[in-house]
Amino acid sequence: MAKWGMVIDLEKCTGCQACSTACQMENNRLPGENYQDVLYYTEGKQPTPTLKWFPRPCMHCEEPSCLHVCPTKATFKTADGVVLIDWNKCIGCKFCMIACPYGVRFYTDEKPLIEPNIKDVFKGSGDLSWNPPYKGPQQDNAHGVGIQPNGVVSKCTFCYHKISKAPAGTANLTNEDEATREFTPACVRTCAPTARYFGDLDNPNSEVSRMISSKKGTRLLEHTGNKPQVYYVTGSGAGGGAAVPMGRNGINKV
Amino acid sequence: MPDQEIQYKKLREERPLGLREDACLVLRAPRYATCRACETACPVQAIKVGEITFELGDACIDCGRCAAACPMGALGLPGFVVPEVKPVQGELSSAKPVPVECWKVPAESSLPDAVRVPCTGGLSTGRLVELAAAAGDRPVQIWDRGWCAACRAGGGPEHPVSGALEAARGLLAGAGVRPEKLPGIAFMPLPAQLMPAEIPSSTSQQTLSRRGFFSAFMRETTAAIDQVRPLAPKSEIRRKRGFERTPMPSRERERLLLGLSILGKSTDKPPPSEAFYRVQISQACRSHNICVGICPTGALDIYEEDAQNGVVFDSYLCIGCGQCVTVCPESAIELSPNGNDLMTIGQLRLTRFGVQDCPVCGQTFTAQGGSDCCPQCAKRRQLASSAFASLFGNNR
Repeated sequence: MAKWGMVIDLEKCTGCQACSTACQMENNRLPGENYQDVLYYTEGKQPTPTLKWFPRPCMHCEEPSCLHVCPTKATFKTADGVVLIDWNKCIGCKFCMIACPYGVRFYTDEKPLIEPNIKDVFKGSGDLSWNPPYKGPQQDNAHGVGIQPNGVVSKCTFCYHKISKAPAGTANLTNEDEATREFTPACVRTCAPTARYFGDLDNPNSEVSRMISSKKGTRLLEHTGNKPQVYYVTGSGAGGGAAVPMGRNGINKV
Repeated sequence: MPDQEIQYKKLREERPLGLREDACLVLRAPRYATCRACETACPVQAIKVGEITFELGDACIDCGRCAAACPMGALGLPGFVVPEVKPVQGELSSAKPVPVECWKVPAESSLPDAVRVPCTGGLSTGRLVELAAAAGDRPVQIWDRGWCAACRAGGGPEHPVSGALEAARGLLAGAGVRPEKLPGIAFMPLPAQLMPAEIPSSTSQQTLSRRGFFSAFMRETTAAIDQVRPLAPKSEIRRKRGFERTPMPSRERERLLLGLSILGKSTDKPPPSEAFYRVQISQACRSHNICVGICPTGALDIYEEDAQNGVVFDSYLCIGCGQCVTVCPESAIELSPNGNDLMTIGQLRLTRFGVQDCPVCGQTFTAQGGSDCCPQCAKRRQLASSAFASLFGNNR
């Protein structure tokens, strides 16, 4: 069984947000609640602020802290290493949102980010929070895939509805390879500068495994012991200066 | 509230015992619920409660002791209904006890006005209080035919109903019932050879006076419980809930409070404070409201008013399961028996926090700790800055 993981090359990432948009389309999300966000972050003050960005999907940790607090055991880890929520069990207590150090879980029953509320325009029937005119993947509440029902927490599924259909033994899922294109997560498939790599971490010959070893893949917040399955690499390895994904830094410098 | 309206799912096709899965504490919240009351109460070890499974083995003898032990009233067995108790004519009418006995006793050996249940050990505290309320002036008397110690449902030297009976007597005394009117056990031996091996099935009991029970009685009691538990105005309380496993009041607790409120009308006393729990939340609270999410009965809830919100506690609903205490990540909750404090019965606001809008995402959040944005945005910001520091060293 594969252990799915992702590598994000920050040197290549241009912060274009195509991944966020693709995620939104694929998973019926609205702005502010995408499973995949590019975090924008400013440091310093005028006249020399620095704009930085940071793509952040769910880390699909090996030791997910969200899983260990869930009262109803709605959060679970699949055999192929993906952390999912069973919407049939979730009671929306939001303990997982507090436990997750990466902040990648969403409860969307509150205020909308943009007005008018799109969810009021396309009202959902039954338990579903809304009824988008274009529907992405098939509804699969047991794996937290599809349109989010009311009163539950949701998160990135690594596009479980796609990757779970990949043939056994697949090492890489890429857009380039026609054989694996359909099984590739939306954000990986869309990434214009190909900053994202997706594959089997247990397979030493997979692209992700080779990148992690050759480019010193870094996991975020190692001190929490969560052991993410999403690795970040920079051009010349951690500590290298050239790879800072910077926007206006330098331009504003006198 | 009448018994017949509740949907219990049969655990085994050939056995009458039923379960409401959505009311079982363990099935609702397997990680934090430690309740195994039914497993412990079963005299023949027929029940196995797993993390997501509830199994009833072949050994079940239909006694209903599990149902009596369940704090949520999630288990149900037909036959335990409170019948209409007719007033007795004559001078010493109020002194004449209402006998309660089990289905094993042949109908011809028991009194015509006896309340017959599958097993007297299957009477919970709530049922006993309810029974006492239905009996009115007459005391309830559980008849021990000298068989209980030998019966498989009895399972020991203690009478199977003694635990529930003691609790009921305490509460009834607190509610102002005079000592001679309290329910008790009476020893009325019958020859041991008359005892059948198994508890007879419910079909053999149909002819007894259980038809038309309640009806008029029920109307009165529904009104009574509304009186003791005034519901909060809807504008104040906004309930947030998952789309399944919504909070549900405990049936057992409803029975208990119903009985106590009826008795309270005749004795003119408030319900005894021993019947209630008390929840306190300390300053450590960070308003995560996980306790509200996990509370099985809805005793903890969120209120919102005047740009403030917090947790409101309803002691009428609380069954003292303690899951809020276990789940709280800040260890801010304390659960204790109420003691003698009548002031803390009913709805109480436990916390109060100011509410503001997050300047980053616009989400409403509870202001605390001097943070200017919501916890999610604060976490995001902190993650980004620490990620840059770890990936690019000097954070340039």
